[in-house]
Amino acid sequence: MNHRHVALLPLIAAVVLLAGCQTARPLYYWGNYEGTLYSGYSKPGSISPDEGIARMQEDLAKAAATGRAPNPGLHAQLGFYYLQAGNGEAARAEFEAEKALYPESATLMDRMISKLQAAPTS
Amino acid sequence: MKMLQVFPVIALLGLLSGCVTVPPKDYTAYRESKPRSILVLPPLNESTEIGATYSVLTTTTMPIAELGYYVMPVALVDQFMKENGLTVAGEMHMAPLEKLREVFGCDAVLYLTINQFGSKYQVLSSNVIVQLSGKLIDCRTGVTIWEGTTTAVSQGQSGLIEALVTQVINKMFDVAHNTAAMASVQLVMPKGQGLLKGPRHPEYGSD
Repeated sequence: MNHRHVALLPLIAAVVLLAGCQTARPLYYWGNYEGTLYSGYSKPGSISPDEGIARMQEDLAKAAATGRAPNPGLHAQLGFYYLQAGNGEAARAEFEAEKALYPESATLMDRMISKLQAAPTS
Repeated sequence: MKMLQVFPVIALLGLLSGCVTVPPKDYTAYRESKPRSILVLPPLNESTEIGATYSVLTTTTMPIAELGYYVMPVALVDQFMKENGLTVAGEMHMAPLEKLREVFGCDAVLYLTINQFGSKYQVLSSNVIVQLSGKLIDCRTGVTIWEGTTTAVSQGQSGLIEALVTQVINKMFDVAHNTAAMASVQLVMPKGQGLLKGPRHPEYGSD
């Protein structure tokens, strides 16, 4: 847990530095998103759907608390974990949230939602 | 561990001050393309490290999103590809652009190649090197609007003798992953060499 955050800090600092000196703060809140994806790929099975849901929700709560937008993909990934957990309604809500926040995702999110309708999970 | 993470940042600072001497790229086609969203495909892996593709893929969202682009959710994209029979990066890179645009609605696709990923062992010390090259292609026109390459190096403290211990090799992979993250940042962010600022960045259009 701690280790993930320690690794992220210098990187975010570098990103902000490179993005230009005028931009004092990152555009988004970055928490567990990339680290969780990496864990899931590097140790298959290490991120259960419930674990993924918990981590993405933690990020959403912290983003809200710090007044920052959740990073692109966060709602979508949470929806994906809900889908894996068999919670179609919650998945749909997250795909809709991603689309509302980032209209650039509309094509993919609509596709995910129509997939839900084609094979409804209960 | 702390020390290990300081090195790439120092390397970056060196890069920043060095940027001045490198002639800026030609961004004419890029400016005309005006991409808002970028699809990052799982990188081609030319290194011998099996985990390199997903190590790099999971470090690309932050720098590209912080530049002001919408980055297609990388794991959803990967899963979608796999469900449709494209199981490895090489196959995904062969997918027709019009199909990618139809399925994902992306404006541009970033094709990455991992040229090097891993440790160079010496007896008393070791370096972890991640070398990436990338190509950004307009999904509608097929025009290459940006190309870049970078090398990130982290200095490990353990040498060959220690590296023979499995635990240390695992630790070295963590260092490699952090180095991959620095390489992703270095590839796309430096002004005049990386990607232009995107529509979600307050300085969009100023570069």
